[in-house]
Amino acid sequence: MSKEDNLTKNLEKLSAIARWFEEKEEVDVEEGLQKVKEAAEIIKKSKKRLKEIENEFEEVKKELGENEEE
Amino acid sequence: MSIKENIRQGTLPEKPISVSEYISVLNEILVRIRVKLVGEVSGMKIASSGHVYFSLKDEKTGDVINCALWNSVYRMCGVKLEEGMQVIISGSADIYGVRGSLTFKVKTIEPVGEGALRKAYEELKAKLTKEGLFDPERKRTLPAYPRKIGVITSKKGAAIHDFVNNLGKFGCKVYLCDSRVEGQEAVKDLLLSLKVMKEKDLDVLAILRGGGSLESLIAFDNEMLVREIKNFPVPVVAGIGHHEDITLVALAADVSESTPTAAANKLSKGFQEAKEIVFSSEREIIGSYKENIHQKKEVLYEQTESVKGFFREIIERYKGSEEEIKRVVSFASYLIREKERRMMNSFKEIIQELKNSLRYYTTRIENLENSILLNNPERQLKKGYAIMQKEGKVVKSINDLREEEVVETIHFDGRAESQIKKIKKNKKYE
Repeated sequence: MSKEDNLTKNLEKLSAIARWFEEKEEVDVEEGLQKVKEAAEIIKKSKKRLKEIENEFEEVKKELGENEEE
Repeated sequence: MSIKENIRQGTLPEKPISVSEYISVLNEILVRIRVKLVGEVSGMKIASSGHVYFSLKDEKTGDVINCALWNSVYRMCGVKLEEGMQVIISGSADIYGVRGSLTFKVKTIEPVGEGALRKAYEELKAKLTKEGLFDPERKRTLPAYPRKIGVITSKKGAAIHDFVNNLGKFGCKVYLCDSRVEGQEAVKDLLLSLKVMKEKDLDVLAILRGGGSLESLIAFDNEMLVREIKNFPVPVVAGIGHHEDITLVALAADVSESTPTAAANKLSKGFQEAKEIVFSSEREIIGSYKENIHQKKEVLYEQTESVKGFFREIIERYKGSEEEIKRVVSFASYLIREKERRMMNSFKEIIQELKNSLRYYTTRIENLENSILLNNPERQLKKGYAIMQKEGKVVKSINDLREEEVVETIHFDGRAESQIKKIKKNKKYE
């Protein structure tokens, strides 16, 4: 897993971006846009990663706990 | 025509014959005239040869006839002749050519009258007793199981039938020697029979005859016969009926019974006893065998019960062990199921944790995304909003503006410079 794919880190990054917007009294449009783009990228990766994790999770469930799901 | 034909026809022969020839003819006739004579002994002489010569005198007439008693016959008859003794003699006469005298050749002789016979019997009995012929210690034991039995008796009498009928069916062989048993004449037959029987391979000899008077049983009081019986090579059984006293032959015999039937029973006694022994042994053997079987059955029953008990115990133990094993297995199964359950529970918890975690991340990302999107300046600009800046700073209040000032507005797709023409305070969205 690359550092970029680490959900916890990504969450921290996103939280930081969210805080940046909340704390900034005056948002620089350019900078804000940059932050949004950065966040969008992180979100995209995170969603992708979440999807992967979810799929893996389903696989594991099938292997180990299929009967338990019944 | 011969002289014999003349005699038969009662005619006189034409030619004379010799004296010797005449005597010979007479003797041929005389020898056929066998008679019994009764008379008194007189002029008795015993020659050195043992032959006895005497005259038999007719008591009434005094007539006499010369008699010759050969030694062998005299001894056989067992009668002690005395002068004046009344006797009955049997035989026939002939003419002694040398002297021309007639002589009666005695074949048997016996005393006349009960008294004389008794006297002779008593004398002979005393003599033989003295000799020890009747001693009990000289008696021989009969074989227990006689197989070959010689029998001397008359085949015409009832004795042989009584004997055979009572002998029993034990496979005995009976050799019968037919003999006269009545009167003095029987002595010769009996002696001859003994001689014949001596030659046979026998286990025992039986001499049989029914009871009778002293006179009719006289042969069985004969000395020579008694001695022969005493010397007989195998034991002798006498089955002779009694006169007033027991006969001397019976006394001399090794075993004496009063009837032929009793003699037969005596001989078959061993077989009868053996039969009884066999029967009783059979009963005893079968009885003891049954008892033995019963005991064996008892032992077998006890052993079977013991084995059954042993197996019952094993089965009970096995059942106990089986129950124990079942309990253990059941408990082990429970433990395994419990482990599985716990493991599954843990697994479920993990799954739930993961789900929660995923949900958290997803929600969190969505929230952050919303938040960031909400703060995205471009989003507002696209809606038609614009950002006003004066001298590089965002104008947030109307109070920051002055009329105629030049300001810059930022739109999503460009910038524009504007000049404030009029300020209207406290008038929102009119």
